[in-house]
Amino acid sequence: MTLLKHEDLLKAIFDRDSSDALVLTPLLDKGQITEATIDLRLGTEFYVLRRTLEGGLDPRRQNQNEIDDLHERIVVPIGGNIWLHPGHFLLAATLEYLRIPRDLSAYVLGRSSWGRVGLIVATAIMVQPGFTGSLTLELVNDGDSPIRLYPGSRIAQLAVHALDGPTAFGYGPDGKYKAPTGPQPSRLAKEAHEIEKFQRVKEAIETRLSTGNS
Amino acid sequence: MGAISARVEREHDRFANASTKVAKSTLARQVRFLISLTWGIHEAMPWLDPPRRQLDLGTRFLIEETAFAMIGPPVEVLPVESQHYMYWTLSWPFENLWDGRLHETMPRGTRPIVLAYPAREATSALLHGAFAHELGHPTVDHHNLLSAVADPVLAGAAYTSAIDAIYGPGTNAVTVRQKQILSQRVEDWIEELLCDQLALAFLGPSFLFCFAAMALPVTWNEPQDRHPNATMRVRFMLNTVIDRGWEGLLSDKVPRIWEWFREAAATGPSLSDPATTLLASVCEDVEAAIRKKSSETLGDELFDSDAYLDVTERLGELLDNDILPAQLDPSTAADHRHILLAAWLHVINRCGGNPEAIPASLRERDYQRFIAKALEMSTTFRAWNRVGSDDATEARGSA
Repeated sequence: MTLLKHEDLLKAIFDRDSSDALVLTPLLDKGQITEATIDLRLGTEFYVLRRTLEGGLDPRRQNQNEIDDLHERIVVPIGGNIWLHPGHFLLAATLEYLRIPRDLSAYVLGRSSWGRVGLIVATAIMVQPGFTGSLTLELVNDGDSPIRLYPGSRIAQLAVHALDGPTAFGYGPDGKYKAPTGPQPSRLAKEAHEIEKFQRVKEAIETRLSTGNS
Repeated sequence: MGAISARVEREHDRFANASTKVAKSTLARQVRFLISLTWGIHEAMPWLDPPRRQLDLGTRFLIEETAFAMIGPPVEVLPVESQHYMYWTLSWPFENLWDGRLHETMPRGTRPIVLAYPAREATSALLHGAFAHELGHPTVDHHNLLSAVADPVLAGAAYTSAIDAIYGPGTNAVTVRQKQILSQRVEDWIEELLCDQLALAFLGPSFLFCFAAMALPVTWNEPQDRHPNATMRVRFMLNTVIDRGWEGLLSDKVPRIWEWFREAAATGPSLSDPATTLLASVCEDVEAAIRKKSSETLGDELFDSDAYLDVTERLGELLDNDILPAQLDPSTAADHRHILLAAWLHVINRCGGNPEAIPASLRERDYQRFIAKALEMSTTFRAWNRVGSDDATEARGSA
């Protein structure tokens, strides 16, 4: 994999056909394309986890709707702001809608100016070839002071890598518009079957001697 | 609430020494009346205390632009969820309280409009074009469009003799009331047609698709008390669509739906009683005036078919490639109305291109979120560019 530098990024964005271009829209300012990354801006939608009196997140016990219901959607228009307090967590999305062609992949990284005040921007940082949509950002204030966030701010950066060639299958929407346009709550409920399986594995471990299948 | 409280104080002073049963009863009646006025306050609550759940920003931007184009500033639109499956507006929520019942002068300023949408359709960016018709009602009121169109007809000798032919020339109370009711229906029908034409003038064929999704299959050719039969409304809209140069695009991009619209337009009302016939005839007579008034009201904001045809290929290319249609090129934001129309045409064809594709399109919730995002981002990009050019102008000025 080769990291795309400024000129390569410009070519991938502006010189390719619509069908295989690297897309970032709206690209408000070409200055967002730096030496070897592209600055990404903070979008206008957020999810916060509701406080609850009935426990918390449990991917084994809760279905996806129940997990979704633990989140509250907040819209902060351009010009507004939202505070992130120390230790608090917020799901956000990039202002830009992206499409990564099948011969590229990317990594989302924080920007040092935000990192130095304690803001962690993304934990799930790999963007697969073929990804289409706004990127969900997991924001955590790891500093000691509350941080005021403004939609539109350059909050993250995208490092784009060229693959050896296009992947056969992308992460794409397969003809349906499933591309996210805002932050996406966790899809942890999809993991429930595997957690259940490990419960059965545990039982199998415990009963292995009595059934003689050691 | 202050005005109501003041009235309560006045009534208290007025009846302070009341001792007779009649006086006490009058006071009680006055207080009950004042309590009933608080219902009006309740209707205005969405404006006073906006709900936390909100429409997406893209749709809100489009609504604001529609209101701005139709009514002009200062206007403030507040979308709220309705539990009924309908769109409606409440304009000047306090007007009835202040001017009509409290005999106080209402302070004028920003015109507030509470705009309700079906809660079930909160994310239906495509269907929300129906807002444009509902914003037509305060527009008709604001610009006195109904009087301009209906008064000459209702005052004309032809209408008088036609209504006399139905109910007789008598002046007894029953006849007079029957004539009043029919004349009110004439005004109601004309107002609905004006709202259709205002919406069509601003949104173009997108409104026709919204109408086809919401109203056309429900009532088809059955006239309603306050609404003309939907087929007549389609006929008027198709005439305008043709007049404004949209026919080629629609017959090319959605031919089967275009044929369906033509079939609807050719379908007469289900009733042929004299009153319905007169209503339809009056509407036919004022069709040209309705179209002219709606065009004049929109002025430069009229949706230009040539401007759309210039960008239709580019928008189609973006949609075909799953690219958010917010930017046409690195420096140009897509127009909201262009996005909405391109989105309708694109999804209708993806859903098969038949009339059934219109409701099927509305089931594509993710696609509609995608379009709402495009509306939001095109606004953001356009505003960014405007600020950029202001900055450049300022820099040149200071240099």
